Amino acid sequence: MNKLTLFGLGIVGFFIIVAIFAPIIAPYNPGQIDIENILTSPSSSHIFGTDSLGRDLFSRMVYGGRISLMVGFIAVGIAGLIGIALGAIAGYYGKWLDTVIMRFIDVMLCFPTFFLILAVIALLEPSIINIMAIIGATSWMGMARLMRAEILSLKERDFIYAERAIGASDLRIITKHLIPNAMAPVLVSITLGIAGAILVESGLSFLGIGVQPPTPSWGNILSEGKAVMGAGWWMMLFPGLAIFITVLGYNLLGEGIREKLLK
Amino acid sequence: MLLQIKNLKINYKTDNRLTEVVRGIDLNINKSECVGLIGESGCGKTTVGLGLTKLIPERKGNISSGEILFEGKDILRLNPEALRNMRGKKISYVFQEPFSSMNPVFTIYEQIREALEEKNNPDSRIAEILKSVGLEKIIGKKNMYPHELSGGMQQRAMIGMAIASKPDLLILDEPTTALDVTVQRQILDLILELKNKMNLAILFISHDLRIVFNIADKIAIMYAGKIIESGPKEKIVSGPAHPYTIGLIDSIPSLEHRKKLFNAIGGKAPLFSELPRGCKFYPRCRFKIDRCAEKEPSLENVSGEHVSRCIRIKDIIKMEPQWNY
Amino acid sequence: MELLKIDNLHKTFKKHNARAVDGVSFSIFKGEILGLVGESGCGKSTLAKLMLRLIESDKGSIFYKDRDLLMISNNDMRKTRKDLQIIFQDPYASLDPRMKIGMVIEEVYDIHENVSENNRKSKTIELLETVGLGETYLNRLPSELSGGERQRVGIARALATDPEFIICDEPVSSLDISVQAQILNLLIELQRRKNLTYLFVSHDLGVIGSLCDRVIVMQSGKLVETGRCEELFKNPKYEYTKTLLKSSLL
Repeated sequence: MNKLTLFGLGIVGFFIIVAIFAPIIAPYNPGQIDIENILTSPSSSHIFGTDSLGRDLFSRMVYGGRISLMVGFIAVGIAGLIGIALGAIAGYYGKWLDTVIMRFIDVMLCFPTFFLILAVIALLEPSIINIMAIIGATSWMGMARLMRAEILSLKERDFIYAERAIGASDLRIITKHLIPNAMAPVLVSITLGIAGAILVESGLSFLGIGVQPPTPSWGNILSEGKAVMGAGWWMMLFPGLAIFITVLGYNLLGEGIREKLLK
Repeated sequence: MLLQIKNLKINYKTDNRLTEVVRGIDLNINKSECVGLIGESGCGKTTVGLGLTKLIPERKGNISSGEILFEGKDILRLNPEALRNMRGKKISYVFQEPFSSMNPVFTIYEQIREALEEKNNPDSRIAEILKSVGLEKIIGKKNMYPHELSGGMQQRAMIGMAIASKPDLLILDEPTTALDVTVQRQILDLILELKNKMNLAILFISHDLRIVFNIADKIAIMYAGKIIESGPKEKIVSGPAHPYTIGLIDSIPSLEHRKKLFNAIGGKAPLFSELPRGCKFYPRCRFKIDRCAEKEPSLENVSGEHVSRCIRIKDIIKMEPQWNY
Repeated sequence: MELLKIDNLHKTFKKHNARAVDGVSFSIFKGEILGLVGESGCGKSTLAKLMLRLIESDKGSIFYKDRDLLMISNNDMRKTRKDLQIIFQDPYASLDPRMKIGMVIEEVYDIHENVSENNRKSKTIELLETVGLGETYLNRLPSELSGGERQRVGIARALATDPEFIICDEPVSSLDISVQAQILNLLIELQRRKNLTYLFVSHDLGVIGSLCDRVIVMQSGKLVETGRCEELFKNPKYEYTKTLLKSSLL
């Protein structure tokens, strides 16, 4: 595995571990307000400094990472389920079912995703669950196409005819034999998709319609940082860096997986 | 003698380890002679073919020792330019899959022209070549692409490209395996016709004994990286002198062999990383005795130019009925 | 006794616009090895898949035990599949690359529930031994096996439901000659021991000649000649059959 991919894997792994062990790693309660220490710059007691309510930024970043990761994984999980299922059905059954699903994908792709998400969130309330669901419901199309393409070629292979010959049902063939063998390009898509989901969530939170304060998220911390830009540079630097590094990590990992599979 | 291979040894990389896959081959090819090299998957025969003009990429393997004398000069010691002048011009190749050997985005005409020495006014020369390989239908069709031809026609085109420069030696590696039976027959007839007309020397590499018995003058059989029997075709066909060759001949299916079980060779070929100590065929041999496992035999004389790498040749010849293939 | 009767089977592929199978009719008798010869593109592999409803036919009937297989429900067809099996040509494409060998066989028992759960492993080992493999193959992946070994697994899979009839679709064409002889021996022994009926598809006349009782010849989707094996080889009536015989290096 080449060095860049390992680096990406390292970054991804690091943030996952930090997210899981947040309660142990964070030195302070992320919601703990301390009026006397408003907007203090990074120091030995607050390594990332404090925000406009005196809350420890490092702790908020650690818990914020948890949220971002959770949104990323679950949103992509939902997208994956929808995309893999629809792609597999379209590819396997073909004919009118394929046409209907493909045209549906075309329609979905017509919408500029981010604005669609904005519109939906404006109608519903911006809760974490809604955010995960809406990101998931608007980013499955690429995976569906990839899955469909793989299945179209796989289903003509002898081992699939063999499964039919021994009496396997369509469900068994699709779930046990086709999808597992077709996952390779979809895996790349999923990895890159997590980065994308994290970016979307950060963007929504930055705009104020994502994760709502006081729950910390890198996006809404960034938003706060913008408001106090001169007085607290650490409030923009750290969340910005975190988002950047995380997305970089997933991209490197995804590219690495793609290269390994293309060999 | 046109080509003389002396003790050729080639290493090949599998799973990141270099293993010796051709373990010392001696082979001679005379002008206008067709030499058949028989062997099953993984015995090293394709590697020999590619190694003859150093076509093995460095990351995949290397020729570790030996000499390949072509018209007296050692190919392995030629400088890159001299080597390039020889490949495709004096020694040409035809491979198994014609479609993968041709460039799909160039027309047939363009690809044959590429192989010509004299590239100006190629049309009449190309027409001549197409006619000699039975592709008269394509003469004049300058916009014909490989995918528009059938498998048999593609292979004819490949042969056309290979003989375009009037080579001295033509190396064919399983040229008919991917083709239908009727087309196969036509291609083999074509090869023989060209051999006679152009005084071509041919190295015909294949796993199919039936084809090689049909087309070759001299035969060499490879097993586990070495030649285990070689000689004039008639001698080998009428009196095979190695248990492996006998096993292969016993495995040939035919109408005469109706409804009987084959006297098949049991087991499978050894991995190059796990070769047994003495004779490499020992584990699967019908005629084995303990002494066979001690030392790998050298090539023993059976009669005249017929040699075999087996210490029990005389016993075998006495035991087996004479063949009439 | 007539086991299978194929009647006027048709299949056209829209994208190729060619009649892959053009009105083919023939019978297969119990206990015989019927050879199906033809060159690539003649439709023999398509015919094999049509016979087991692995592809849908356009027209025609396939009678097995007095029922037309093309008229029965999917569920009934699935049950009938226990009796009619197939072995494929390419040992590298006929096994799921991610499935362990033991699972390949056990899956059949899982689908048909013809073997109780605690007996499955021992039955699988028994079956693998029948085809010349053994317990050590249970946890291996197809990529770890040679072509001949994979083909044996394919044969074991076809035998797992104790079928009556097996279509052998070019089962040895991708194998080296020495391995070919081993696999042919295995198929011959199995046929004798279990009184199986084979439809043996091949383009290799040597293989057909050494195995088959009767032979049918296909060309461009049509059946052009039928006959007892020796008769056909010695006195071919059709031009195409004569060409085939002349071209093969017998």
